Amino acid sequence: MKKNLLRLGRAITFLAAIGLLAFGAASIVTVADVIGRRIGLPIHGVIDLVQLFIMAGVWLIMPYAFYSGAHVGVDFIVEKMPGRVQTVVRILGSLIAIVLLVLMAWYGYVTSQQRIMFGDTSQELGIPIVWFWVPLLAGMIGSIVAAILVMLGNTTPEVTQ
Amino acid sequence: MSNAALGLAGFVLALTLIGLGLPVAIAMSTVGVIGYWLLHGWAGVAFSLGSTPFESVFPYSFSVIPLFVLMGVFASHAGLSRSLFDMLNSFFGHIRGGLAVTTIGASALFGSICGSSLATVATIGRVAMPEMRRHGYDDSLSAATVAAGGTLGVMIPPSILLVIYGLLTQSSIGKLFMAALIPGVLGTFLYAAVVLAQTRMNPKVAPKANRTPWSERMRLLSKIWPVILLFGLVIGGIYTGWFSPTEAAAVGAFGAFLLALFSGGLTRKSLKATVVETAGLTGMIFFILIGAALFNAFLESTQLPQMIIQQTEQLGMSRLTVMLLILVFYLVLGCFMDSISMILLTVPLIAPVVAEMGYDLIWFGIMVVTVAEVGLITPPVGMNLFVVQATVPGLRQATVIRGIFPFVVADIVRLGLLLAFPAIALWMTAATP
Repeated sequence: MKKNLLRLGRAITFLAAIGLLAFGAASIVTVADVIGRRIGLPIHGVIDLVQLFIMAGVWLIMPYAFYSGAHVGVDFIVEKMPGRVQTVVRILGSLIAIVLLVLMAWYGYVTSQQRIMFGDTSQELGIPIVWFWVPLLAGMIGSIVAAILVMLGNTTPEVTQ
Repeated sequence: MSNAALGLAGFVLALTLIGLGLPVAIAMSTVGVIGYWLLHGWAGVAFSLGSTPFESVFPYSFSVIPLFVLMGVFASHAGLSRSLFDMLNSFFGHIRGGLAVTTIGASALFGSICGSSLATVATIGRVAMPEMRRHGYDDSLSAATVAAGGTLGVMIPPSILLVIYGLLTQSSIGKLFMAALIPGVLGTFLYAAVVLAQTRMNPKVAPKANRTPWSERMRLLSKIWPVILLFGLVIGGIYTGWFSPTEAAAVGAFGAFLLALFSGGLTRKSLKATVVETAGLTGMIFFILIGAALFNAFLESTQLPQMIIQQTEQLGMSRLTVMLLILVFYLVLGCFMDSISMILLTVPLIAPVVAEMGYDLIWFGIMVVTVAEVGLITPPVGMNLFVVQATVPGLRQATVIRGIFPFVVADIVRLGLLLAFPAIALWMTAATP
């Protein structure tokens, strides 16, 4: 069981690394376009590409933000409460987060199906909209897994240090 | 219950949930979803839940956030903090309090390539704290200087906080960056003045160091060209219209990556840290953006901002009184909330009121970010205080807090100057595209 949880944690970190590469791709393609414009060789559809890379990047790193407990809150009142109350508040917070993420994932899926049915594409390159939704839904599912792991008390070493 | 009263109750509930320790993004989302449900039924909520996560990330202009975060993270791994510190120390180190002035200056310069306050504190703190301790500086002065200096990272462009404010109020990010330049420099001078005043009153807190020869000063000055180049490229590019602020973020991230690469700062360990820092900060910001979008959709439905505008007009208070009340509200809130959450929670509610009163939203952005800076160094949740404490094992929180008060006063003086002379912020914006 512990081994599987560790694997899940590694998978979440791996997704974050891929997300970072997507940000890098967005940066490179923009720089190439900025230079290209000066020499008369702009990159066609750069905005579509940047939107796709940023969408992929943000949603692939999102599970890590949940896993590492990066979401900020005001702790100093809770810290003064008895240990049992703190535990209840933290579990309640995790549960609310999980319910919200499940609702977002489900209604996100419904919305994505509608957009795909309408044949939505990006403006310049005509990239099918499904390409934008896949990382979003993957990131949403990953975030649900991460939030569950956190609720079960599994956080990254960086957080527990 | 009227819709506006429901909106107000929602705002209070969100603050209460945040106070109870719920992550800000979750608290805002929860109140937004419940409020929208009460007003528009479940079908409205379902639509909102399905589309908000997409619409909060998809707009091209939002790409500026992760890319400026990435720029800051790479910059902090490029090893430039030591060069900046050594160069400034060679010029100011021989003055009493010179190392602390150096720390302020290094933080301001580092802030010009890193848009994050926490990264500035952590990076400069690792270099400056051991140096000041080695030279017999008082811990309280040293730690407070590092913590306060870090806030300059938020004000001196590029600044992630200004980007978020610009996206929220649909203000020009380029103009916000230009408007922040002089207030950022003013803040640097005021902080330096605070250090010098303290050392004059109590010379024991900061002993003098030896003077550095001019040849050595020039050698050290020549080592900081990457910082000047990157800052000049990003801000100069925006100012001259070579590229948009959105593109500037990409150029900055790419430039900072090259700096980190050629300085040997990109090791396996630092690359892992880059993933961790970028993922944590970007994920946190975007999830708050989603929460804020859900919360603001509810607030807009309640017409609460319009009700506040009407009430303000009926009370017959002067523009100045209302602005002072808003600033006091932000100063108090900043003591308990982190700056990004505070801006995302309150600006959609307050910006329409400010605009209705005839204030410039670019100027107000500089005011809000300055107040948010104060929140970073005021207890109990001033994040910079915790970060500087973490850079020195055994440093007590009380020691850091004891030295911070004069810097808070300097920030309030700066706010007063900006309030009295808005041109301090606005005159640089006139020529910005």
